Amino acid sequence: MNRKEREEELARELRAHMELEAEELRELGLTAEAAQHAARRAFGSPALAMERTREMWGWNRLESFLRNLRFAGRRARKSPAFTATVALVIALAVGVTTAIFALIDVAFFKPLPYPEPERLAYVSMSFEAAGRAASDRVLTGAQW
Amino acid sequence: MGKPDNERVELLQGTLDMLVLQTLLLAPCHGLAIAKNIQRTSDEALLVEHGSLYPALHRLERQGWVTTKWDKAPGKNREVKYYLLTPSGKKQLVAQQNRWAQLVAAIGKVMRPV
Repeated sequence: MNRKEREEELARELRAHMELEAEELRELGLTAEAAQHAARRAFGSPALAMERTREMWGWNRLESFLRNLRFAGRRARKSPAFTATVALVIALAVGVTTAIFALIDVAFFKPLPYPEPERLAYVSMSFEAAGRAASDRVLTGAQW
Repeated sequence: MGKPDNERVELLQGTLDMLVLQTLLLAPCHGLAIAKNIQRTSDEALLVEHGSLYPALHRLERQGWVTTKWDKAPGKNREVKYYLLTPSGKKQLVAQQNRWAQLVAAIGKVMRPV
């Protein structure tokens, strides 16, 4: 039975009982309306009864989820070679992705590990001799 | 109907299932009859709230301790859902009765009359 059918059946069950109770009260001599009211009072809220029952079904769903999980585990154990291959591929993919992201994070996004890294500069001189290409020379701090 | 509220006792957690199974041992019942029967046999001391009765019934059904059947109520032109005790429900009832007897005996020993 699916959830909707179960809900409908429960509602039908509650309604039947409420009407049965009202009928009995009518037979005791109450007017139809008074009987209906009395039955409703005796019952408490049908909505609450529905809600509590539904709550229990909720646990039901969690349990069936756990059952599915266990079933998946059993299937995985049954074909270990396939399971190992899949696990290996997933592990490699996750590992490679993590490595690349870590590298890019350090190279481009993280500030350099010095105080006030924005004040760091790169200083060089270039010479241009006749007929030769320009050559760069990096200066040390002391030379500067 | 019945007693004023202060003469009612609250159902102990987990005892409703046992009471329902016990009621079904005598004959198949619909939900309303189960509730009324428990109230009557306890001299109205136990009030079975519908908010706890239906979840209990569905729980028992899921455990396979009761089965259900829609059938005509006697003398009425109306179908109601009947609950029937299964063999495993009977076993469960015996187990719960034993546990209950142990619990009552144990508590009785601690609560000696002063």
